[in-house]
Amino acid sequence: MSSDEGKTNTAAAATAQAGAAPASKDQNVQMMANVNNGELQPPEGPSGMEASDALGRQLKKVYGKLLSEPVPDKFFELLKKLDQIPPGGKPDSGSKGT
Amino acid sequence: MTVASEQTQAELVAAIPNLRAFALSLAGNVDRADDLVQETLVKAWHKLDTFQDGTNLKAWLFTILRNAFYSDLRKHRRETPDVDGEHAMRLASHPEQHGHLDMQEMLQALDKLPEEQREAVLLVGAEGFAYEEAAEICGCAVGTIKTLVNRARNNLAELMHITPEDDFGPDRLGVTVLAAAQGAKR
Repeated sequence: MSSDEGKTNTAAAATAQAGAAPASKDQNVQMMANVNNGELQPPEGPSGMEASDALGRQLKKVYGKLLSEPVPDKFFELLKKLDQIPPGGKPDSGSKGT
Repeated sequence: MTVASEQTQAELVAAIPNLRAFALSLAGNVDRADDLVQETLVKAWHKLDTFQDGTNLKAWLFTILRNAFYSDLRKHRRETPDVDGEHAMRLASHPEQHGHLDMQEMLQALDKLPEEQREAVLLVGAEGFAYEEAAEICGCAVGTIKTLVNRARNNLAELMHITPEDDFGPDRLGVTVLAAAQGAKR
């Protein structure tokens, strides 16, 4: 990989992360809202529900790792190519796939 | 010449990591997953005029990706009879980056789930789609998705040895502290 590619990759990953950020922010806001409403009950001790919440958090953590993988340049090149043809237009021979 | 709105472009770009993660969970290897994402982007682009503004672009993209995966699977099943065999949702690159034991454990547990359970729990539990959206993506009833997610959760808990008495993860300490604090109040 050339150093140029590396740079694009990093920038691309940053863009993707920026795009993904609002969702988690919303979740935080949601969680805070729950706390403010007193809806978030303090745990009374371990329960089945908590175990599955922990499972959910763990799942999100692992999935978050997958999401943070840098996006390869080929996707941005593909989008650039696609941008040359109107959305919904017929694929021209050169632009389908890579 | 730029023909798609900048917002659509940005949304497509923002969805790529999610599409790759979902594709990886379906296809089980990074190369196949990336092919699938490329196919999805091309298809989505040519169908963008059928996409209704104000609806969920990410869910729409996931639907296209899933359909592409299963239609390819049907097409190639004869050529690659082993396609239902070993599924590995491992990341081909740098396993040491995901070095936490609990992460490895979760990935391995996900690998062991039946395909439709893994798909359901990732869409709802990890990706955060509503049951209704996940049902739309998978082309099945909402009740089916709920059942699959519950089964997946139970199986994951069992595979990862999480019992109701044995909470785990970063909150274990928090729970203990809270319990102790509550005890002190009494």
